[in-house]
Amino acid sequence: MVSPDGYVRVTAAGLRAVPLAHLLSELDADLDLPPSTASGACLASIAGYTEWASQTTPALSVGWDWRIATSGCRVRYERHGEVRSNIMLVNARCEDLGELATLAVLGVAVDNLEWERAVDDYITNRYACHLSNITVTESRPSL
Amino acid sequence: MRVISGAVAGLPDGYYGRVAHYRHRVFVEQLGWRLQVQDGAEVDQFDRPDTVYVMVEDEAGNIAGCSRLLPTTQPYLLAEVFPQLLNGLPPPSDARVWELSRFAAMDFNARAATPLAQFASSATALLMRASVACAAERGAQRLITVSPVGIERLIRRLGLQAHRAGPPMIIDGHAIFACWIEVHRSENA
Repeated sequence: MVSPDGYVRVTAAGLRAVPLAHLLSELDADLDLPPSTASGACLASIAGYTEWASQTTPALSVGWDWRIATSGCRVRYERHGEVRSNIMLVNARCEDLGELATLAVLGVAVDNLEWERAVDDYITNRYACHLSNITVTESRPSL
Repeated sequence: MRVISGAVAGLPDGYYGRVAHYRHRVFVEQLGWRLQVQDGAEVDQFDRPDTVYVMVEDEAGNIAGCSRLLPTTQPYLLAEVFPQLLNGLPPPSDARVWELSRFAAMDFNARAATPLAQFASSATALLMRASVACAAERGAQRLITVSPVGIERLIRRLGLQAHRAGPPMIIDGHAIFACWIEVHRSENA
């Protein structure tokens, strides 16, 4: 149940046992899309956020910022900044682990989630007409 | 920039109307929200005599941001319209909990007035801190806000203590959510 302070309290093991499903993803509204005549790689400013939630009651809610990073010939999504959530992790005695410890565990959980494909599919479909103006010259082995 | 706050009766002449028009420009014209409109002003049932407004005005006298504070002991937006955003928790009714809504800080005189740009401006930071302080003066220990999800990034960047109440929901095509802000800890941030 939801605590009066709005947190859903769960152990780390309980968190790992709950699947999170992709809810929505958005590009940042200030994305400076290039004109249709642009050519070449135009990836530096592509960033956004994504939201995931459990199907449980109450729902666990997790969101984070992402950006598309390039490294050599690789193009990949990466989490940017801390995870935002309604979760407070507790130990076996139901004592709060605190915000910092919770953020650390959530960061690891998100990085193990393999979220990139879901975000890429969602963003590609949602912004198909815009993203068609961006020419990506590199291969995308990590997506 | 300067901050002006208070209930309608305590605001300088004309400011309430200016806020309502500013909200129309932001929420109806820029963000496309389907809200009640009267003569180019955005006003709803929660704009009452006890509603507290916080405004930021720039050096030229233009409104650069505004927010609305409502006590949860009286009808408020989240409880009346969006209780599903609380993830099953009953809407609070507590003199120590106030609602923050209609938060906007869009500078229409800037070259790029876009929804995300508002979250990066100095007016935004000033407005958020002033809103928290204004609520604290009225006895608030916590704020609950119903807002676009982007505001959570702003809250975190300002170092305020906050966490979401549950997953965002798409309502009228816009992703909104409810978020708790700890007033006392945030005041010391």
